[in-house]
Amino acid sequence: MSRGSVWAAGLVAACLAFATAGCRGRGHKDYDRVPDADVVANGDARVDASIGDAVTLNPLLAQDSASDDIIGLVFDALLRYNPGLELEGDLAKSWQVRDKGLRIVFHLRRGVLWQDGKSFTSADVAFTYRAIMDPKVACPFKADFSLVSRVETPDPWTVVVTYRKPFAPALSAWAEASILPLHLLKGRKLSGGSFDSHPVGTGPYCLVSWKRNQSIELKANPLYWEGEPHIRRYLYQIIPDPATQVLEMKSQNVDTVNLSSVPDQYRDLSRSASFREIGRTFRFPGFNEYEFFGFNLLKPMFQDKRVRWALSYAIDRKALIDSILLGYGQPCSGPYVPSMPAYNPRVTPVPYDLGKAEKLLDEAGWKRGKDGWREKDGRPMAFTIATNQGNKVREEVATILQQQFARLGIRARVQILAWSLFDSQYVSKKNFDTVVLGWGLGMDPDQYVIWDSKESGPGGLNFISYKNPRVDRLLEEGRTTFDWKKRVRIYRKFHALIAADQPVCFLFAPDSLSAVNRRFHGLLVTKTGCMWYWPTRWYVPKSIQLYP
Amino acid sequence: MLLRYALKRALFSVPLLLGITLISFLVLHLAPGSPVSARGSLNPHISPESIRELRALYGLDKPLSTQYWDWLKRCAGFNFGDSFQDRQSVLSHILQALPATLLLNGVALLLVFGLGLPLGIFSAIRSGSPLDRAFTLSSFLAFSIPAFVLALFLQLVFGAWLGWFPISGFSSPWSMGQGWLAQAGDVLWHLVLPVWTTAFGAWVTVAQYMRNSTLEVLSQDYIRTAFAKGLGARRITLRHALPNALLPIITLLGLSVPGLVGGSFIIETIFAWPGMGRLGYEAAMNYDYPLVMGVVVMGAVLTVFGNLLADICYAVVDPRVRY
Repeated sequence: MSRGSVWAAGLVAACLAFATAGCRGRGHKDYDRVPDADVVANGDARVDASIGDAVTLNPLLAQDSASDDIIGLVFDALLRYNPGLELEGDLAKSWQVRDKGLRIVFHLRRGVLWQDGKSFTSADVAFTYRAIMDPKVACPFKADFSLVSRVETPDPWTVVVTYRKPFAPALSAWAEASILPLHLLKGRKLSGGSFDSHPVGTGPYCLVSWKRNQSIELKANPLYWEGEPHIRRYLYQIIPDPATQVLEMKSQNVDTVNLSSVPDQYRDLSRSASFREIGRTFRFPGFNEYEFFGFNLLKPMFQDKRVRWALSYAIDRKALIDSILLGYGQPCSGPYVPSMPAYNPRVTPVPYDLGKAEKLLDEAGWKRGKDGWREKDGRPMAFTIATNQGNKVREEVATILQQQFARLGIRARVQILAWSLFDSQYVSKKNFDTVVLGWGLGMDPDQYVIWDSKESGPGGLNFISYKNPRVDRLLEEGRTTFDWKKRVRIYRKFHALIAADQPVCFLFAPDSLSAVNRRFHGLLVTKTGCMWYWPTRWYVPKSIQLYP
Repeated sequence: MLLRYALKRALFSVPLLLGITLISFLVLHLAPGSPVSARGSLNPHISPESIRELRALYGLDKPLSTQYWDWLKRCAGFNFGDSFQDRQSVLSHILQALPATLLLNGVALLLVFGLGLPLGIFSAIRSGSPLDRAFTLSSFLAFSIPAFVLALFLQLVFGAWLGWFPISGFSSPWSMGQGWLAQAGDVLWHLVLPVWTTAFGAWVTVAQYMRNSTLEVLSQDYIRTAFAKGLGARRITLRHALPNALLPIITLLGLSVPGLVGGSFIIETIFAWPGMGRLGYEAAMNYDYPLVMGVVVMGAVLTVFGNLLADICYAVVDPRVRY
């Protein structure tokens, strides 16, 4: 044995010894036996991992999820969503819709203080509206407020918003708009100023420091109107690599991670026995985000409803979910996902049924030729499936659909295009046969811009050119109806109509996957998530606190 | 004489730099898509009017030539503009990312040359010995390990299992009041794993380079003459062979200068290191034209500067170079 191989053998042996020793990380206590588990205690910290850094902490400019994460902790809106995905008061204690929806009156909560100690009043709300509409500010959600004609403040605790026409999604817009402090921003630059990185809000946490591309540190707001959070510190660690995030999570350097985009990492973590001692994994049906296979309805082949249904029957949705999402997803039956109130439970996802698909295609005149491929009037049944580059899920969906369609005797060709090219040259110009895409929408069920026939013009989001007068009517009705129960009924009808038409084949909604360290107590776990109201609910019993 | 040569060379690099910026600018703007489409398109919450407003705000509605001229004029005053993404100045973005990258690559460079040169010389002198052969074999093995594999291995063994070094990050979290010495120590502690990953493949290259260069010099006639005159082997290697063998290393060093600030996207991503590699990559992904141009200009200036420095060094140490 040469000297070199002795070294090599030694190294291998050493590695094996480490491997069997398991994770050392921080010495952790036994989280199963915590004597003071039920005693709510103050202190400790939550370390959250994020793939990307926040772009800005100015609510007027934020578009990315990282910015929204921090802004959501520093600022409050007038309204917010509860675990049942219904609106409830936040900075507004209550609200009324008057004059058939032309006027919304918000009654503000009294005694709310800004993080610098000044009082919050209706003037701040009026100022926020003016800031959103300021032409010098590139505020991405301006459109949501374009129907507002007046914002009045009859007294410091009342805001009256007048609309040019009734607009039910307005309430959800007010739930997404963080209220800004008038006294700090009056006469200052609203965009590009120091407020972008030194925000002051009314929310449960205040900014301590922001080290770009490293971390954002927050501390509990002692003035918060719901009471100072028990978890006194919050750290947003920027860790771009999910594998590194998981390693840090296992070593207890990170307390919470979101693994929705990396199901393989989630699966490994949820099956790790050593991780189960220190952490819990959570899986929830994702919110309003789904992937679809869409037809260009201007092409004669896809104007035939039988062809659309045949292709929908030919898609094995379960196989897609199992192979691409490792099973972490739900098949979709229409434009809402099962966790949304507007989801119509009576509509079921289209089953995988090759027999029906064959029959429908034969009826539509697309018959198999001698070589097994389908054709009609001498033209082969062939089309392209286009999708954007960089989205692994969609690229895989397109490839699997190609194989699934081939079984039916259909020649599909996959085209994977850079996003900008895909959007500007194919989707916007309606220069495509079929696409694989996804919609990520807000909490409000309004989907006017996606399905209304008036939105099918150039550059509109209804690029598949879907036109159905009954759907148009329902969408209009849904936009002007404020009664939540009535609205839900309208959108369930709409869900059923769209599902019957199959203008797109609804595929699946990916699950939301996350992990939380086990020293946190007080979690409110509902069927929509595990993070609900965490700033006011979560605590770590004194005996197992990790950070001073 | 030397000064004139240096000045002449410096002057020549101005059109070169201009050319680099022009081509980068064109390629960037001709690539399909724009910062506006990257963020606004197919988003149900962004109206076409907002997209038009954004274009005007960024100055993207002006002709390309005007945009380039405006950019060039601003650059002349060392103003690289504001990032499209957050409206903070490009310079402040670069200055925030640069220290981390300089530190990582600077320490790695020291390690690469500090380890590589002696090893190369040593194995050249002992050329053909079992040790030399073992070194050559292991350097090829080391060279063939991809950085990301090594990174994960180091993280797993020294970070997660042994707990000797932090798994990722630039410094320990929490802005607690610590002395600067403690903070510097903390950063150095975080530096260990990424530095080894960065240096690992490179010092092997330098060692091989040095080995071959030394071997070549050792076979020269004047070395044989020196031996014939009865000089000691130690004196011959150190005084006669080494200075000549080091000449090609100057080029290698010159070429390493841009690498100092370039930053590796992969290593910075795996170790959550807040450096230039991630800055440049993310800027490009977001069509953040001013930021990309800022990073490009800095890289170009340093590459040209590194070459210039190497040329001047040659002129100084090698009398054969005429100018």
